[in-house]
Amino acid sequence: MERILEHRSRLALCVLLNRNDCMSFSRLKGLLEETDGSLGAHLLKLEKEGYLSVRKEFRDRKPVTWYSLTKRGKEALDSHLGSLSRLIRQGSGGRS
Amino acid sequence: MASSKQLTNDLEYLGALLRKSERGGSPFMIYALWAVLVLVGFSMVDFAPHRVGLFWFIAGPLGGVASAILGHRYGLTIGQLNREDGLRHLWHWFGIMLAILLAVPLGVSGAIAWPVLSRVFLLIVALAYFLAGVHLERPLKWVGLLMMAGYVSLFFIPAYGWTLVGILVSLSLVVSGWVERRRGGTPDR
Repeated sequence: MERILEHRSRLALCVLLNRNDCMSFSRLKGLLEETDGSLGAHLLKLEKEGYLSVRKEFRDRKPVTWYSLTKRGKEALDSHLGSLSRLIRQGSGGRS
Repeated sequence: MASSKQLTNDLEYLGALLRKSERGGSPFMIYALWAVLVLVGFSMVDFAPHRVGLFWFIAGPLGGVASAILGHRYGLTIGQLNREDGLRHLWHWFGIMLAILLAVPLGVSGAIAWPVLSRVFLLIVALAYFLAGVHLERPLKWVGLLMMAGYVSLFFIPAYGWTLVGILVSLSLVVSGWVERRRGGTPDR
């Protein structure tokens, strides 16, 4: 399992970015209902790990930061979700 | 290590988050655009039937291009871009337009009378909206069903049936757009 994705918010960020080509900081903030600081910290961690790419631009004279999942990020997410599924199946099988 | 119950909760949270991100897929302006086109195009069948073909030949593709531009702009505004979704919409509506275009020679050749063919077109478009509601955006399912009811009503309404159907479908598009806007929770620009 990917340690960095064990945090629910970071996993959620990767899942959302895997589903879409790119998303803005404000959109992610609105969906995850996180504070600027908290979200920024999670995104920075993921970026440093090479899971996210960042693009900044101006739109209607306001700065907009776009995030997208890198190939490395997709592979890490797939691997992590696979591990989660196996863990859940093992947990369910242990109880029966 | 997290328990399997916690993991299940996390996965359910992710599922809910994805569904939340998919709400409000199209901006109100696209619904409003097609509400206007439907109102004009359907009414023309009653008031200017000789111009209906030309109207849809121009308005159909132009409306499609305008919808694509509005959809992309909306994605930029809300901060979420998904090329795959956009392409799925594009192929869906392109397929319908192509089917209608390929049926036109049936009218031109006289094989099927235009008043009858117009109703067949309505049925095709109704199916298109219904399937769009199933696979793309839920409110369109009801617009499709209303169009099918409109198709049936045309057999019974003695005059200005197309105009009446056009008004009802147009209103349903406006209402659907308004509902989607509220579900999305983000303003249109």
